[in-house]
Amino acid sequence: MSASIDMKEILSGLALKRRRDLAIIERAAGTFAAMLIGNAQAITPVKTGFLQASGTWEKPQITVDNVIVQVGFNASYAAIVHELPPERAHHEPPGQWKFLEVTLRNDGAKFVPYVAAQLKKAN
Amino acid sequence: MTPFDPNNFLESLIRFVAGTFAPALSLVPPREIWRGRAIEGAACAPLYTSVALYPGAGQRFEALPKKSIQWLTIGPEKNPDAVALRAQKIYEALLGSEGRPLQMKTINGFKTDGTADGTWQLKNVVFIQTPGALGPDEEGRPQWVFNTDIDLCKLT
Repeated sequence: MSASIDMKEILSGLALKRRRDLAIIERAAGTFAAMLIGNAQAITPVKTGFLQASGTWEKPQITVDNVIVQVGFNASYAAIVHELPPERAHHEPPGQWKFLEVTLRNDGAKFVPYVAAQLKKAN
Repeated sequence: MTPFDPNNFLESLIRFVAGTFAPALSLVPPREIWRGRAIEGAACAPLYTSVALYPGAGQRFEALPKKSIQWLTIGPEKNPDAVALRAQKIYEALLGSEGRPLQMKTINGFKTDGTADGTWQLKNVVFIQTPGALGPDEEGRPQWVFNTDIDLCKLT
């Protein structure tokens, strides 16, 4: 005795759900990256504003088991401003060195809960 | 919990790293590795590394201090290769024999005045990045940097 089930509808429904979920994840990851760069910009040292304005993020990359968003500052001198300690380079508050690292340490742990919450809200 | 003096820890750490070089990096003028800001001039070698604590890592529910440390190497304008090499060798001093970041490494302890002070254990060294060039400083001198988070404890 045998039985069979036509899986086509179920599978296409699952595929549609997966595409929607991936779109939600991508949107959430991008929103988080924008927020993170915004927070970093708030403590980026400002002289002309070019460094601060160079904050940016890449389109989220989604793999089977990971979501990656690259964030950073594009100004050619971003690294040196980021790394020179206060005794070698004075910055007017709230600008400070390590402006991206401090932000990532403070906010990075919130990334997964935020994306998960957006996914749960949509489902 | 054994009281933790970050200055003594840093002194112990730089002495450990200095001792991995042959000959050892000089801790007397002209000094080659500095705890915190280097005092440039006759007391300072032209090629030197400043090792400084900075407000990086936070501590969650673990009974271990964690310190973020910057390793900044600066050298003569006309010898950028030497700066890169020194930064790399200091980085390698924090790797074990298999080339992995140090874990459970016991080092001799020293106070900032150089007197012996028990031992520390580097529970876990995490490299935030590998050494990289920052670009020249205002005098045109090459600068290389890397940063570490270190879980540690005062053993004795």
